[in-house]
Amino acid sequence: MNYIERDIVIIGGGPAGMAAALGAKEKAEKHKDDISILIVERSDSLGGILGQCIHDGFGLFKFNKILTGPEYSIRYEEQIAENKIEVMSSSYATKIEDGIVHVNSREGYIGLKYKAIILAMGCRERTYFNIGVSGSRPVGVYTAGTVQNLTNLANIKLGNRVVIVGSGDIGLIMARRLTLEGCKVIGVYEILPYPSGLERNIQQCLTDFNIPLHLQRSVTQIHGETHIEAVTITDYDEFQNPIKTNRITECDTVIFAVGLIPETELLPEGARLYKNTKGAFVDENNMTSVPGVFCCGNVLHVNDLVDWVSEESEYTGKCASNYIHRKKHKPCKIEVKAGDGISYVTPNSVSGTKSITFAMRVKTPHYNGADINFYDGEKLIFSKHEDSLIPSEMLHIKLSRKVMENAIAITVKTDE
Amino acid sequence: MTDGFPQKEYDVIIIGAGVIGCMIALELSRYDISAAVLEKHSDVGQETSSRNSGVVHAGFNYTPDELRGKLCVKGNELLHSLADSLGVEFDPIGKLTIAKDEADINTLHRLKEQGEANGVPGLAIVDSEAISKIEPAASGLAALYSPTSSIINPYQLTINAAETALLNGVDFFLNTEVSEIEKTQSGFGIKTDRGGFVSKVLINCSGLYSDKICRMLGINDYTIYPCKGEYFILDRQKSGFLKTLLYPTPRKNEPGLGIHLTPTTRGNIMVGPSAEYCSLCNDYSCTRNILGALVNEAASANDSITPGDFIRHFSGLRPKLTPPEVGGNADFVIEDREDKKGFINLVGIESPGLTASPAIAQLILPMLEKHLPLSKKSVWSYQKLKPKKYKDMSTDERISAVEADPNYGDIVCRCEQVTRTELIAAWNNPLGAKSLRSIKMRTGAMMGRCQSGFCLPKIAKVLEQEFSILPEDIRSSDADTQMFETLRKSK
Repeated sequence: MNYIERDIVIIGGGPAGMAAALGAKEKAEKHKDDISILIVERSDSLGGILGQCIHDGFGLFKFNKILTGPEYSIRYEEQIAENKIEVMSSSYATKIEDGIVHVNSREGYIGLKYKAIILAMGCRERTYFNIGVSGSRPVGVYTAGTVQNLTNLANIKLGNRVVIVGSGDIGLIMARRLTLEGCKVIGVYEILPYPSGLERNIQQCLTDFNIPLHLQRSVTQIHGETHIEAVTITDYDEFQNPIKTNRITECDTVIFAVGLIPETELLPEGARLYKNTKGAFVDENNMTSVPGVFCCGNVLHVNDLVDWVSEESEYTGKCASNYIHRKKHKPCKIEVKAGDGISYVTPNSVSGTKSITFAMRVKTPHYNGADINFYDGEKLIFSKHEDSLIPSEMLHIKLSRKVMENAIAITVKTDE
Repeated sequence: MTDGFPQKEYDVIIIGAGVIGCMIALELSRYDISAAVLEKHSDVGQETSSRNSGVVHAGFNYTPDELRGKLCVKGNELLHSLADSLGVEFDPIGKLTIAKDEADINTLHRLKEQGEANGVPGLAIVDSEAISKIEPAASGLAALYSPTSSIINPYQLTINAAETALLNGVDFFLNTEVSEIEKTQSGFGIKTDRGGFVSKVLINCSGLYSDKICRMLGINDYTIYPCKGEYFILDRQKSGFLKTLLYPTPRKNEPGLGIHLTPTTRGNIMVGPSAEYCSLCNDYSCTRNILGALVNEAASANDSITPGDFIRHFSGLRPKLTPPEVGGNADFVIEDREDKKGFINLVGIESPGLTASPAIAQLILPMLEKHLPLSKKSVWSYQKLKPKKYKDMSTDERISAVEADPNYGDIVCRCEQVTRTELIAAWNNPLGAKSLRSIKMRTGAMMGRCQSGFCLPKIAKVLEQEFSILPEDIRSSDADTQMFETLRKSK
């Protein structure tokens, strides 16, 4: 096999990969290290999922602007070009084995040797099979991201009367998009008692377009022989127990926006996973349990704002540069766990030698606010009050070195 | 019968291009006779043949006086080498039929005797220690171990058999549905939605519709009772725990063989099938109450499995001769009808039909010979073996493949690592089947954990680039399964 050697290899040229590359370069320059960085991207251009996100709302925090996905991406693509960061596009990383990334492209099947590798491949969509939807399997059932791609990039229309399952952001965005494209969106159906997407998307995508949002409801069965004709809608109680069913007729398309799952298939064998996110278990440098292997962006945990992806990834890139410079990080023996009321927290282990910004989500909404409490065993070491917390909005809380330096094991909980 | 169209004449016409029809076609292609297969779907193997466990049974579940037992044992033996010649995925992984109580153990002893009487080699009753040694994921009081039980890719078998038959002179008429049959002096006149056919001999391999075809000839002896079996497919990443077929001891009057765990040749594990009678022959819907049972079954074998680990839920229909009130299952009907000379009738070929298929094909020959002289062709060959799938290639093989053909460097389906080269070859298949399902069955694309979420747009793009297929011309399976509308104009 032909080999190429680079100091830092980044798998994925979306917002995470690009920010990581720039962060890595910046830090290397500070160290006065001359390091080689390579982005491996499977499609023919950079940008990742942003390319199909033609709606705006990106960059509010990062650039103080409201940009579309491609506009946000271009800002990074330009920096990548300016910084002369090497990109291999239309190149697919098939596996990481014995410290080598196998990459497939029309130019050949090669091996990449690296000192540090940053995985930034993003996530995939949960399917209706994963959630046990029964019935026939006719034409007309899709996941939201696929519909977004087909509608926005391929100029393909899938149907005229649409039911959307799941009130996550992508479902809401597609409700609006398809309405603008001339479809009738019959409704958005959400199994939980509250919507999963951002508040502003509920307003701008549903309310503004008179698209009904049905809470505590979901599609449980599909009807139709060659094409969808109808769906069975089931009502649920607030604990997702089914109560009753009724039927909607005359829909020809069902779009499932029922969750995103980190695409961790490339993780080398032995990398510890974090059950709560289905992403990798990482230390305070976003390094996995496999030395030199880092994760950032949606492959680590599913973000709601690309601005946070950029921040997290830039930080990860810097950590990767540090790792190469010093050949290792401080040992991270303090494990950080999600306790009551918290669905996940990342990173999962810290050294207690530097301040860390934790990203987390609450399990249920706290519309009147709640305290986020960090415990070392039984001892409360830090508390922050947050107004109005909802699961769909990621929370970032910074803890100083001083707070953590003597901790043994940290648990994060909410107390209302 | 003539409707203005010129009639196509053949010595033999086979109705139905499932695994039975295609294996018979394969066998007939060795002889100097003209033959054609009529198939209503847009591709071969679209019904029961591609919707089953993919198991090649040993043959101990049948009494020695039954035809299906003999055909199963013979078919098992034939498939061990035929799979090789046809280039079909096949793995002799063996099977453990698990006993949970004393009654089960008695049944196992009976089955062992029965199997031996049928000529099944290598059967052994093993104790719980041996069970764990053979298959760490299994546990039980005792088990019947059958080393000749194997797994195969059933739709690949159907396709490759059809393609070899085609290569050797059998014509395949896809998208051709039989509507009327007339018994004539010299044989049969067949009316379809694509014109008329005439043949000396007619072989009924129409599976779920075999009773319907019979009735077209005025034969009212049979009724097919479709009996649905639902399956769940487990993510390959969670499928490593099982390497052997695991079945429960069969219970009397159960219409199927019980819910079991089946490794597949693609590396996934399938859980199922259930068995419920249904009323329609094309009702492939999946039911929610079975979901729970199947998930429990998987979880009892491996407690790390959760509902989210299942990537697909599908169903198949058994063409049963036994009605719901009787239950159980009946022997194959394979008959050369005296009342309609030249009509070779196959009815109720449910399990072990897949296993028995090559043996069934051989059984047809002496029946055929009563109506047609059969002389073997001097020139006959298997289809050239298809190149190894990219996903199965070693690193060195991949390096060479991409160097020789850069289209191997373009991965179209991420989950199953299917390349542009394979997509092109699948679309160019010799049978002329052109649908997403045809691509799926030949390449494995769209069968992965994202269930075409990522690859659907890419596949549509490649079809347009390579074959000028516009999105609105793409079909999911048959002609009436259009998927897309677009504003693009044809070039």
